[in-house]
Amino acid sequence: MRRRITDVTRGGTLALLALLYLSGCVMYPAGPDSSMAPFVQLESEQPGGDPEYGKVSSSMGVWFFRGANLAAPYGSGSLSWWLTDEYTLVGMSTGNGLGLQGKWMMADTSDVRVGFVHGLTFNPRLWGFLTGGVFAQRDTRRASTPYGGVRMTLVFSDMQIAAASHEWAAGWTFRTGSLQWGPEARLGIPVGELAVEGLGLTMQMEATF
Amino acid sequence: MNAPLDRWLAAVSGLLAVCLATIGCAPVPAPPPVTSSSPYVRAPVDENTEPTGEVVATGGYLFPGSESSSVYGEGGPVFRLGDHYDLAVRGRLTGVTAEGNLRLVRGGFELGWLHGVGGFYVSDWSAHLVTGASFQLGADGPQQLFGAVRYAYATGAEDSFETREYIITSVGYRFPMVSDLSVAPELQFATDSELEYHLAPTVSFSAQF
Repeated sequence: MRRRITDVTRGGTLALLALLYLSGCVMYPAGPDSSMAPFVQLESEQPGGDPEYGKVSSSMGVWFFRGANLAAPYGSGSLSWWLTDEYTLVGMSTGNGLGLQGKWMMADTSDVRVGFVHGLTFNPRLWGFLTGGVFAQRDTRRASTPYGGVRMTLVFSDMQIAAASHEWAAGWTFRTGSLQWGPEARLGIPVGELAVEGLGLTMQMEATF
Repeated sequence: MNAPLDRWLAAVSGLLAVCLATIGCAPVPAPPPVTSSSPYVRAPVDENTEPTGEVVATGGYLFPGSESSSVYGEGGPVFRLGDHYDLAVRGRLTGVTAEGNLRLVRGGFELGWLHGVGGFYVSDWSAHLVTGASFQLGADGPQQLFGAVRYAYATGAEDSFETREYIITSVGYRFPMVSDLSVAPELQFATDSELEYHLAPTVSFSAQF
């Protein structure tokens, strides 16, 4: 049963990706450009091994914006620090700004993990982002797991809300030793007319320490 | 689906993202092709746990000479292809770069030849070629002084085929932290053929895998 659900999830994700791509989605970075992947955490598969404190993550890929006839390369780096079993702090840097995000684990079993993400991103030249949302991942004790989430983002400029969007993300992470990697897709949907719909395809690489 | 198919799908997704990035353009101003040289710095390791690479996340500020400052961030993996060659791939909001470093090691001193391509820098600059030299002192100890001098040849894009050349000098220091995590503050200084200068203080975090 689990395998069937996994296959359906994976197939649905790929089909969604193909559909969005063929429909000509193009873009503008609708959110703070941070991947969901830094929040995804697999259990150590080496009992008695060295303790893990966190991980360094990198994301790179491309965003497409609907109607803008643009595709923008994208990359970022982040440092996640596991403060407690329930809370992870993520510092990240992109061309959009420097951000600080937190993850609070609300439910954590061997089969599924559900958390609440929240954070701030700041760009001294333009604006700041305020983000909040939920994410979930399956099969936390296996070498690979699907995950996904949704975030709401408010963009502030001159102390006023300049734009808002919600961003859906789905990905798959694999683990090889202390390296985690995998693809992720994100769909940014604007609220109002100040942002542009975008589809982001990203490849993640993360090393635990 | 089986594990080889999973890996195949992940590889295709990543390749698609890179291909799309190469044909894309983004509505952001082009920074000089500064990029951290800390990814090439190797921390001493136990021979029994020789890592195969690192994931590096870099963040900081970019101070262009004639414009206001902007946030700078990038991330990506570094693969160790043999004892004397490293390949670093990095992504940021304005493009993707790939650089190799051929290194000669003499005790605690290393000298390297940097070379690579990068860019896809949207409206102003589309691509650049980089070559240069890197050095590292204290390669056989827990802390290293490192630096690099790069020459970059950037080509114009769109309706302009103007070219611009950069000389980028960087120096930094790498400290070990917990487990496989290292932190490396670095200062980069770039001058271009238009006699404009750019200053970029950055901090890189790297974890081995």
